Amino acid sequence: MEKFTAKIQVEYPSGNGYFSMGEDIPVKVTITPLEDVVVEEVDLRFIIETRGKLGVDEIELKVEHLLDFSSLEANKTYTFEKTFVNTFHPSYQGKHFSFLPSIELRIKEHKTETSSNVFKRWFVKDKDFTSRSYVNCNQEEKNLLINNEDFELELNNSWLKYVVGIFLFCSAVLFFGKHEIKALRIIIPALGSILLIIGAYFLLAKQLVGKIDLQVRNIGEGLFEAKVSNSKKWFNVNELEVFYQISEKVIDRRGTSSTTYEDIVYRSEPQTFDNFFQPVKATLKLNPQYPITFKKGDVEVYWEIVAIVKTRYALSFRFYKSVSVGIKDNTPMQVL
Amino acid sequence: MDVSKLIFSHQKLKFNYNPFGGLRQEEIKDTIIPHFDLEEVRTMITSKELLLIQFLGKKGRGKTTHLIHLHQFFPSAPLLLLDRNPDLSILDDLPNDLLFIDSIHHIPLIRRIKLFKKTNTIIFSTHVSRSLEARIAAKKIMMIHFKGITPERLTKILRQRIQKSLKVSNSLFDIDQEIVQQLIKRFGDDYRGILNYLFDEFQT
Repeated sequence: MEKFTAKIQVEYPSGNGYFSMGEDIPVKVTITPLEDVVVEEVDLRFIIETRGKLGVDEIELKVEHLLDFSSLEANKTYTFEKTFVNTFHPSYQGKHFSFLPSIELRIKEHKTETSSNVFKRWFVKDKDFTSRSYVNCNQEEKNLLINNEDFELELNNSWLKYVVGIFLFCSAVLFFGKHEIKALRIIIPALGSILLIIGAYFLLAKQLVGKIDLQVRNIGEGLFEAKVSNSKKWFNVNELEVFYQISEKVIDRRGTSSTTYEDIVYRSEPQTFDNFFQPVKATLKLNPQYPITFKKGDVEVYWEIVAIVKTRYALSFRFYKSVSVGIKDNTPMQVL
Repeated sequence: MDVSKLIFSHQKLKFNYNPFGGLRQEEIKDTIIPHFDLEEVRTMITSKELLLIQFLGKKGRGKTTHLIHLHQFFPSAPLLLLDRNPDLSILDDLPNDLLFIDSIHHIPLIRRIKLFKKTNTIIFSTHVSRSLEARIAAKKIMMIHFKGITPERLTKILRQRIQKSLKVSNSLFDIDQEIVQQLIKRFGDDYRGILNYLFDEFQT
């Protein structure tokens, strides 16, 4: 049985069902104790919950201390008014998790130790009173900013683990089947072929494409320029596609085992180049509907620039690199 | 299976968050349908009996949720939520009275038996019964098996979760029993599987 009734009221700007980034969020709290109570402290917290296919985590943005050690009378209503500002991130509903800005009231009641039984000492029925109210902050209004950087793109080799995995699985099936020695006659040439393919892939990428360098610059209005250059002056290249993609990664550690979910949630429209006599510059718009670069606990959001290089020998190579995206005039690039 | 018809209501329901995702520890008490007599287990823990209580079952059956829930009545006792490679040095500084351990199989056998011997009461979750280890440690062991599902129970769990996530808490709604049956047919008693499936459907 709760000892309090409490109400958290958030006054939205007229006509809007949301707050913009940086806008004042006025909060009114009323607390009515149902019996005479002594409280140690009463706090109002502005937090952003990360909630989804994993345990709930939170980022505390601000704490307002409402009361210290005090006696509260039964049935008397205590009112407090505070203002918060969201400087971190708006509301977001993604594939595997959501960002949920919220206000939490926490009342810590004063308790006295009574039991001497060593086990009963552990048994605490009354816990802090908490009440949470969610605040809708506009996702589309944030002004994104990419970190200006110069770097070399990396050749995509994520397919390697699948090739190695399939090879090891097939080898094990063959070897531990009925024909150990016969199996080796298949496994050894297969291993040789796979190593040859992997070697050829890296060698061809180096010989045909060489190094791909990228220069990323903000040009305002949520746009950025990705200037791509090549150590071989695009000599063997027919076509180049440049775009960026945003991925969510969450690790679900609830329960006695853990599972990782990782998916691309957005891919920008690719910009295609086939004339390499001019500098290759892609102008891309940062999509404000998606979260900034973020990593805390088991939640990660990462942005990557991708370049797909199509050579004149009908071979394609995929290059990529992570970039950091934050919110302008706000918290710097958030990698917590 | 058309899970968009799982929840039906005459009014348009608004949610604070996806009802089928992870919960804060303090929310568990409002959404759990206890699998066993909580009062009885709490009484056993508060008695001075030397005891091990194991929550046994396959993954996704609610062992950890129940362990966290039970722990909330004993918040000063340590609760260890162990991962694949736990830092075992924490075991040296634990009190000898009462412990809650999730995924006890991540502690090596010898350390586990030592811990069973030195601690008065441990409540833990496991995939495999630790009865033999309890016997070696000369401790009485009680087993709570997490197995089975009924449409009524699943309906109650879904109802509580939906209720908790609503913007207007007294909104009226009902749960489609045909979809509940289909979920059980597809996932069996894998509650986590059911909730993850519903999470994905709700999120999109």
